[in-house]
Amino acid sequence: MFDEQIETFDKGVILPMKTATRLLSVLALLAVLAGCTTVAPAAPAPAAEQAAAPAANTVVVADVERQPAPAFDSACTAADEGAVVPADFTPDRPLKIAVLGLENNPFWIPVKEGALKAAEELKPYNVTVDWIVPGETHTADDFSGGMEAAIAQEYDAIATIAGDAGLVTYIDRAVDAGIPVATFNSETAAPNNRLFFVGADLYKQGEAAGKAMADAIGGAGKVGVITGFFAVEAHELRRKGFEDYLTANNPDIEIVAQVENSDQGDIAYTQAQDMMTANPDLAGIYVTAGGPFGAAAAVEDAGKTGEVKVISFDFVDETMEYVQKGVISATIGQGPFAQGHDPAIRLFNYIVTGEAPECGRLLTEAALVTQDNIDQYWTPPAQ
Amino acid sequence: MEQPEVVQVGTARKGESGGSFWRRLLQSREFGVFLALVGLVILMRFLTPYFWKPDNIFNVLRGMSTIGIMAIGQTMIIITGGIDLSVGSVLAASAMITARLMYTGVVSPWVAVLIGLSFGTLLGAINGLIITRVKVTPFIATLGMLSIARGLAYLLASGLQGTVASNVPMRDESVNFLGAGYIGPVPFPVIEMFVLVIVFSLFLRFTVLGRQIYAVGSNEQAARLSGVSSDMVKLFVYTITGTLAALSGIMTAGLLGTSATNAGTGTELDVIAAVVIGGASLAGGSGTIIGSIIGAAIMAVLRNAFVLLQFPIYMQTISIGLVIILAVAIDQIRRRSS
Repeated sequence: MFDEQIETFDKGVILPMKTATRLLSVLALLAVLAGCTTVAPAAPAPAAEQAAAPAANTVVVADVERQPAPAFDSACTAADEGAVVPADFTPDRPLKIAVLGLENNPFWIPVKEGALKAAEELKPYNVTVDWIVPGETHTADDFSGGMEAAIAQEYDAIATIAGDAGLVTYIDRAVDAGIPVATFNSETAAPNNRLFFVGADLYKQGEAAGKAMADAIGGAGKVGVITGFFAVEAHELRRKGFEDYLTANNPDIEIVAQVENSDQGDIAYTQAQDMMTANPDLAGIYVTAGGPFGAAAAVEDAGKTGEVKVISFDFVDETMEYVQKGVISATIGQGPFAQGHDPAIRLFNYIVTGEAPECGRLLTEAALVTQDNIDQYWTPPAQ
Repeated sequence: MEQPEVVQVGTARKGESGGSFWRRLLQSREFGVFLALVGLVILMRFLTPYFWKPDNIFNVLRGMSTIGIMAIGQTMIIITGGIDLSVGSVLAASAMITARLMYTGVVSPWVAVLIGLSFGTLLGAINGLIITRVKVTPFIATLGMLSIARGLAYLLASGLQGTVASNVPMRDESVNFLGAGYIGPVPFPVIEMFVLVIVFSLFLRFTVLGRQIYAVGSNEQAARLSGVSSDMVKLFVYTITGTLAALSGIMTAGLLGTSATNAGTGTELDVIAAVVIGGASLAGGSGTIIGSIIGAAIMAVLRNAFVLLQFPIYMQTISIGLVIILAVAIDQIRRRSS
């Protein structure tokens, strides 16, 4: 899906070299903002020209006038999410961009793929993108060290996960040192000087889950909620979004239990069993974070597939297998590929054009995957 | 460790039976916790019709089985005056090596299980060696192992797709029976737990090594002077705890058909809480496996109650903490008054 978009987009954005630098930058900005559908028919230049004439588009990085960052709280959805292409300028010196990510669970597989894809796309422009894993957790404990190291190593731009407020200082320190910073996946509630964020609006994801649940159980019935940790803001936002949506739109749906499973499948299994015991007429189980396959396994083992609908997040293999079997009615994505891919490309574009994204939060698509459309999102791993 | 109420070397606190058997029973820490459990169960029976159903009781027992099995080892360690913070990570690493070997198919499933159990045993033995040979305190040694074993789990889990640590499927019916099987209406993990509880309780009470575990915890110096190799005793308890954690890991993976990188995260605290609620003293020298299992059961019933009684969410977190403190506080008061 992404590859197709990138291809069309490539042809669209590349302009003939006659154009003045200024015009070019405006167009590049337009392209970034408008997305492929608008731009594609405008300039059908062959991709070959790009390789033929990089020198003409050379830009002196130090001379680029950088726009200020958009308002921290401003939010929009980028039409070219996951498919943003590099602006067609070659910097006068090699650039290196750090992407600070995690590898502690399968959620990160597509994120890393995105970062690697960005590295491949930026390579012709003399840019190195390094995927760096500073530790095991989202928090500043691990990422502060990663940020410090990236600043010390004089990266030209940094994309990082910002799991808690402890990272604000480090982000601002990098920006003060002239290094633009983008955040992805999770960011701090406290404002900081990052240029933009790429990731999900977790509260809206919760609302989407509420709607998916209402649709799955026919707008009425008892549901149980299994959340990761009450202490994790991201999980709470998904829990609240779900609860608020149902309160506002589906008064006939009753939430009969809310428990935390520490992101673990086996605990979710026991809790799902308990929910079905306490409520023989249970209609649905909502899992906000890790281990939804535990709840699904409990439903399946109890012979209640189709009777108790499970709604969950993300596209890890275990979850997708249960979607395919019909135990999990829907699982909601958050554009993990875009989270890994877009920050590096947009940071590059900012460095060579000076144009900032139109808003501070570039919210990723909350794709709803069900038994009907799972083929578009997932292929079973080869045994 | 130097408590005034030192037990004589080689004599477990509940070791002898005499005319005062009933008095001893009533005064024992386990009996107090047992009463608390009975009280909780009666309360639950009264509050919800769903609690006392066989299905629910078996669910609760199955839910506590891996905690219970690890609590057996943890009890022995805490009796020696030590602690093992690494059980949750050892659980994950052992399950991961088992699932990985099964997935790649280089060995037959049951050989993979044996290797997984041996791996946990080895990690436990390393804990024991660092504590006894290098004289690193148990807290620090096992805190280090908590990190190392978790890292090993990630390492063993990576490589399936790219290099990102990924959950590894574990799909062998016979192996998964360890965690997901049923004999009649009884979940197999429950049977495993009770068999191990009985075996290790008898071991602690009636074997020389079992008695020596209490001796080392009561007064290590006295034990050593009377010929007990305290290092061997300690090495044994950490090693066997590694094995039990590995078994718990394979059971957890078997239940869900997948070995997760984050399996057992934070479990060490539940295990330690179960042991402490069950009457063992972190100072060493006292504690029984039965007590720890009752402690685990109290927490399991409480967690069951969260769902059955629709506890308000943040009360759940508070109540677990309250139970831990209450159990130990009541015990302190009982002891002072007797």
